[in-house]
Amino acid sequence: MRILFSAALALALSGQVAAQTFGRLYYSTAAPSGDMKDYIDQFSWRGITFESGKYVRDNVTAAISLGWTVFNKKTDEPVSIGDAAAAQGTQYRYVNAFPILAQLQLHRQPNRGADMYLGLNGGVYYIERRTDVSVVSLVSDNWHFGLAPQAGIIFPMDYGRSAGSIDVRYNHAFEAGGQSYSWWTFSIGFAYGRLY
Amino acid sequence: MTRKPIGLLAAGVALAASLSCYPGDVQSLQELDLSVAIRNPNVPESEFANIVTYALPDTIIHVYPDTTDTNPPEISRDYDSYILGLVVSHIDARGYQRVAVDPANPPDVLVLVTATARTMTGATWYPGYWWGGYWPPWGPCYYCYYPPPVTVYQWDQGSLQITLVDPSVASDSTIRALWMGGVTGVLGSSGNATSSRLETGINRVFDLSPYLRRN
Repeated sequence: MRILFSAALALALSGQVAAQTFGRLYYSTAAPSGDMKDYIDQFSWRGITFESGKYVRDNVTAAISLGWTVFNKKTDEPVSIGDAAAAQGTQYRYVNAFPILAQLQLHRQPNRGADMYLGLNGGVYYIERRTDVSVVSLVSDNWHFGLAPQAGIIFPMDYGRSAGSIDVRYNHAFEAGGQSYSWWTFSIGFAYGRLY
Repeated sequence: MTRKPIGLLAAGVALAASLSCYPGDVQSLQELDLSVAIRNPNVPESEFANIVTYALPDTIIHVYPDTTDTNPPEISRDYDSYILGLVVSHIDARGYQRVAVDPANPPDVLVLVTATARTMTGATWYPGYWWGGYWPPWGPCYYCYYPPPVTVYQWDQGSLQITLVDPSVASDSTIRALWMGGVTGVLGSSGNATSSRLETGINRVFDLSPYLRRN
């Protein structure tokens, strides 16, 4: 999945930039929430988000958003296995989440200052959950439908020749394979193409 | 305003490539140790409160997956007394009373401490043995038994098992295991940390089994 993500990112970024199109690349951090915190409650410093789209109106953009966030935790919490068994040892827990989302954003009327927006993402999440304990790996992976409302700001940099962006979104991947996930993503990045 | 995305391309690919799906590495052998506790699902937790006496042979029985092996591998016996001491201290602390091993006057439960001398996969399998713990066994077995009703996919070499069995139902060569605790791989190698690994592993086994307690 990581190779696919890198290939898709390279392909998307290497395309011709049309007047109405844009791309944004973010470094993303994330905080687990909801049921996911029962499995991993530690903040993630490992993530990347890429968006590519176009202005369909002066203040409305449509885009595709790809992401990858890695959550991990080391713990020795005991684990119950059914009613009659339990185990305890050092566990390395991982969640790799790859959102593939369609995105609509409503922007404040463009002007020379910062551009604020609200957006809604919808699509699928490929999520792999892995627990390494002793010499055993327990892995489950599923495709989840999901939604991600977001808010952010795009601000000019380098005397208006480029732009930076800050984005906050709440990801919720609906239940699949008996597991659902939710987390907050906090991203900072750069934009190219039509900036605002 | 349009910009060439060459810099972003390089930055994005570099960032994606630098991410690891599974950050973090095992930092010590102890992190590979796993303690497990398995209660026979047909034995209610309350049954353990009615146990009064137990017997525990003064040896750790080495278990082999292949009974035809006349030269089985050896694992260290340097820690036998230490292990047995830990087990006895835990069981005593739960209110059970240790009695002498006497097949003519069996205790409420028999505590067997075994070590896997060779990695075994599939169901656990115990060769016949007698309470003297010799290998191979000679003569009739007092408590020969076959796999308890617990299946474990793999015991690594050097894994330690503590099993509570009911000696009163051994008439058909199948005896009932009430409970089993295990620490994987802890005797697979000897080192400065072996004692602390054993202590941590055995402590966890009993911590995972709070129902092991006399009324």
